[in-house]
Amino acid sequence: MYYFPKRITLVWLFLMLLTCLSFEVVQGFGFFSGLRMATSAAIVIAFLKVRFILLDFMELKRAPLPARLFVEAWCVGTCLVLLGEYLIGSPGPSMP
Amino acid sequence: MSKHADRKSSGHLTRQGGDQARHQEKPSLPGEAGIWVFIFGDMLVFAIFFGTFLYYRNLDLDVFEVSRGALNENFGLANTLILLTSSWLVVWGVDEARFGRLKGAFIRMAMAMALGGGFVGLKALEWREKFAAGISVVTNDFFMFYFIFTGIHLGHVLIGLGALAFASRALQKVTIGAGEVRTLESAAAFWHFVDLLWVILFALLYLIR
Repeated sequence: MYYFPKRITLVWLFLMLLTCLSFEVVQGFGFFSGLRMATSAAIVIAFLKVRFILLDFMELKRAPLPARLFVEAWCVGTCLVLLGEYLIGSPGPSMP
Repeated sequence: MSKHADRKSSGHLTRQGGDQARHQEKPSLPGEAGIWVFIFGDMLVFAIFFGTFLYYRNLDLDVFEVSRGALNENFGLANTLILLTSSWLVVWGVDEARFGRLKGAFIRMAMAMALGGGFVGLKALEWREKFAAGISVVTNDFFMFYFIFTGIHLGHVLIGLGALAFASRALQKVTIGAGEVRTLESAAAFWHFVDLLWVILFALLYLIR
């Protein structure tokens, strides 16, 4: 039986989709009308993609606990800091 | 030569490859430990880079916004899709190598490297477009960050391509040992890291507004 990496292929397709989605969302063609909301979504989506790459592509899902904790903390921490910096600096109301 | 490898590959898991093994019980890191020390350290360094970029962006929103508008986001999108696809092929290639199917592994690695070459080519085109418009690293703060970050990332891409090429040499033999699989895994991990960095750079440089 020939091997085909089903799960990894699904993850890849999902990442491609998320990429196109975030690209469209900030250009205003998505269902987000507010720029702050769209950009925040783009940042969060980027780190969602990063987490998939870390856990599935880099196989960190079955890493020793310290390594797993490090990458999870890095993902969440970096995302929150960048999101925070963006929202603090961007003008206008937060409602779309 | 490769006929030997194909005769060996009956489709059974001869090594720890494939979707199933990826979710095995025993915790372990693929590749050499050293590559992970480097990757984790580099992750911290880049987190600081990213934070610094947004800090300076907040100090000069107008300049950053106008400058971002001068970027060709189609290059950014294409490069993101290219690296994601390249990473997918590398994962599959490592699986094939673990199964002992060296020819299949080599083909996937070669395709992944070709896509990496495509990234470099598109980057060169994109930079050329900027230079032709009179934009360079000294134009303003946004473009200083843009050229320095994409430049450092490009350096990582070139190193990653070299590592993949070096590690893939073993795939041209009849059989490979565990050490050579580990080297391939290390190169693969670094390549996924390069992909991961670009995913964030794409959002920071091209998308946020």
